[in-house]
Amino acid sequence: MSDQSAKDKGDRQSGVPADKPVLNTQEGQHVRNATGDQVEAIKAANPNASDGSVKNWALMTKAEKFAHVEKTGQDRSIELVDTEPSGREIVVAARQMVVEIEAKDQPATALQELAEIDSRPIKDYGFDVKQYGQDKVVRTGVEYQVGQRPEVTEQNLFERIGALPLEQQAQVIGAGIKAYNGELTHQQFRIGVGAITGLGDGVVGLAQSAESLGSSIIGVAQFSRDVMTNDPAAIDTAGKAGESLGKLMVGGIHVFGAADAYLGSLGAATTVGDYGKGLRDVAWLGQQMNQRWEAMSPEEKSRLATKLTVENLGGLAVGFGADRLAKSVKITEALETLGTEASAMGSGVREKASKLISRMADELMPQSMGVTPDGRLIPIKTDAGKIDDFAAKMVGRSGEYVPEHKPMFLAPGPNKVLSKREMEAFGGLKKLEAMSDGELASIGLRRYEMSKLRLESDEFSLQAKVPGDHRAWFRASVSKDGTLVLTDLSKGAMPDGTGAYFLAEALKAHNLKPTGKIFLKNIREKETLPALAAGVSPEHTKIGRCVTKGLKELGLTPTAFKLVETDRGIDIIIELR
Amino acid sequence: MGTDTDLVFKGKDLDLIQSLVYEPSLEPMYCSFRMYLHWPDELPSGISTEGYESLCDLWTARACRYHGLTLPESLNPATFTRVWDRAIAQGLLWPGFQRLELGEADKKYFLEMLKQENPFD
Repeated sequence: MSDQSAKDKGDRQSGVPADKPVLNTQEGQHVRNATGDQVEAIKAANPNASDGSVKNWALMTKAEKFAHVEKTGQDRSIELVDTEPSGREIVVAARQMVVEIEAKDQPATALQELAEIDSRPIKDYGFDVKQYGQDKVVRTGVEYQVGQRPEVTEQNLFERIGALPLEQQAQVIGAGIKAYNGELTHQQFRIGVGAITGLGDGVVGLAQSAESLGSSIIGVAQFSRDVMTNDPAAIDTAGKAGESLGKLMVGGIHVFGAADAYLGSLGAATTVGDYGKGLRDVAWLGQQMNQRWEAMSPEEKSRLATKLTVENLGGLAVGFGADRLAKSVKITEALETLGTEASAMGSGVREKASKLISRMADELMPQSMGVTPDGRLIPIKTDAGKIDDFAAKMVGRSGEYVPEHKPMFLAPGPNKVLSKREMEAFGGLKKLEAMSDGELASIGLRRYEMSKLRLESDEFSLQAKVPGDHRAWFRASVSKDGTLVLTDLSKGAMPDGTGAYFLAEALKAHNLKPTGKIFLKNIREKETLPALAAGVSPEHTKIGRCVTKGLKELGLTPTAFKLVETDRGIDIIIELR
Repeated sequence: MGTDTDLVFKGKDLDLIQSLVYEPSLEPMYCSFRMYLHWPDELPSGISTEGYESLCDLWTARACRYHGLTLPESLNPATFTRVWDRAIAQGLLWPGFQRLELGEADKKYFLEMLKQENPFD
C-alpha cells in the first residue's frame, strides 16, 4: 500500500464517530438499499480494489516481482505512519518488500535447513502392487520412526561411508581388511564403522550391514593378494571380487580412489593406523585394471563399454552413458563415478549398475599364473567357471593375447615345425629345449615362437588374427544351445604343423573352452568330403586330426565324431569329454 | 528387387553389406574349410550367423563361377550360384562383385592353397 492509501484510511476512520452504528446513518441506509449497478460502480471506484495480486504474487518470478515493485512504487509494502505535533509525517515502521523478495529467493542451504525443520527418521515402506481379481491394490507409505531405535540398512551404511572424505573411507576399507584377516575383531570393526559414520554402536542392523561391508572389502583385497602371489585360489576369489566391487561402488564408496589417496599422502601424514598393506593390495588391483583398459584401442573400449552397458543397464544405458565409460582415461574412476550416481537411484538401478561394474571388473581384472602338471607356467583364467555364459552372450575378448610358450623347432627347407616324432630323431623335446640357439643352428634347426594374437569379437563371432600375417585367421561362433561352432581356421603364413596350436591358442585367448561338443560347419574341402564318402573315419581326416590335436592342447579328448550331410557340405560334430 | 524371400540379406545384415567399401589394394585370404578366396573388405563386423552363411555361399559361388574352383562331386555348384544370382538381383553393393577376375599373384596364391598337402595344420 502507498502512503496515500494509509492516509485515506486514516481520514475515513476519523469521519465516523466510533460510538454510532454505521447503518443507522443516512449514508448507511442509502448503501443498504443500493442497487446492483450502484454496488458495481462503487467497487470500480475503490482505489484499494484488489487486482488479485496476492494470488498472483506467488506465481511471479523474481524479475516480475521487482518490475511490479518499481512500477507501483511499493518498495515499502507496509508502513506505520505517525504525525508529529509539527504536522510532519514520519514512518514509525515499514517492511521492506525488496528485501523480502531477495530473502525469499535465496536457495535454502538444503540439508542444514531441512535438518532444522525435521530431523526425525522416516521409514519407507516401499511400493507394492497386488492383484485381486481385476483390481489392483497399491500399498505404499512412509512413517516417522518416533520412539523407535534408529535402523540402518546395508545400502544406508555404504552410502554414509561413501559420503565420507577419502581418507576416512580408506580407514574403513583398511579396518575391514584387518578385521577379515584376523588382525581386528569383527566387533572392533563394527564399533569403528559406527563411530566413523556417526551412527554409534547401538543402531539396529549395523552388525549385519558391517558384516556385509567387511565381506565385500575383503572380497576385493583377497583376490588381489591371490593374484599377486599366484595363488590358484584366485580362480575362486575372482568372481567374488567383481561382485564386491559392484556392491561397494553403488554404495558410493570410492574403493580405489580411497586406497590411492591413503597411499599417496595420508598414510605417511597421519596416525590413523597402518592400513598400508591391505590398501596397497586394493590399489594394485585398480592399477592393473587401468593398465588393461589403457592398452585397449578406442574401438575396443567403445565396443566393450557399449556391450556391457546395454546388457546390464538396458534402457538406462543412455542415461549413464556407455560413451562416458568408453572415453574415460581411468576406468576405475569412471566406475566409481557411475557407482556414486547410481547410489542416489532406486534399488533396481543400483542392482543393474552393480552388475555392470562387476562385469567390467571381470573383464579387466588380472589373471593369476598357474603351473600345469608338466611344469609349465600358464595364466589361470579368472572367469573359467563362467565360460559357458560368457560364450553364449558372445562377449569375446578384444586386444592382444600372448600365446602360451610352446617349444617348436623349424627344420631347414619347407616351412614346417618338427612333429613329435621328428623331434625324437634329434634327441627329443627336452634335449632340444635345453639347447642354445647356436647349438640348434649347428644341427640345422631354429626355434619358432608363435606371434601374439590380435583378438576381435562382435555380436556373433569371435576372431583371432596374427598381426603381420593377414591370412592367418580363426573365426568361431556359439549356437543358441551353447555349442561352439568353428567356422574358419587358416594358418596363413605360419609354418605347417602350427594350425592346431593356433586353434588351441585362439580358443584359450577367447576363454572358449568347448564343453560337450564342437561343430565344424559346412566343410567342403576337396579331400575331406571324398574321404568321408569312402568311409574314412572323421577323426582320421586331415581336418579331424588337426582339430583333435588342438583340443588335446586344451586337455580335451574327443569321444565321438558325427557327420551331418547337407546340400552345402558336411557338418562334423565332435563330442568331447 | 525381388520379393522378401528372394532377398539374400535383410535388415541389419543388409545395411552392413551395403556399407562396405571396396578396397582394391587388399590381398585375399584362403578359406581352408570351403576352398575359396575372400577379402577383408567383403566381411562386415557384426553380421549375423545367417548372414555369414550367405556370404560363404557367395564366396563359393564366385570361386566356382569365376575363379576356376571345382567342388567335390557330392556338391552341386548351383546351390551356391543361385544365391549369387539372387544377390545380383537384389542390387547389392557388395565389394566381392568387383573381384570376378583374379590377378596373377592372387591366381598363383589360390593354386598354391588348393595344392597344399594339409591346409588345416
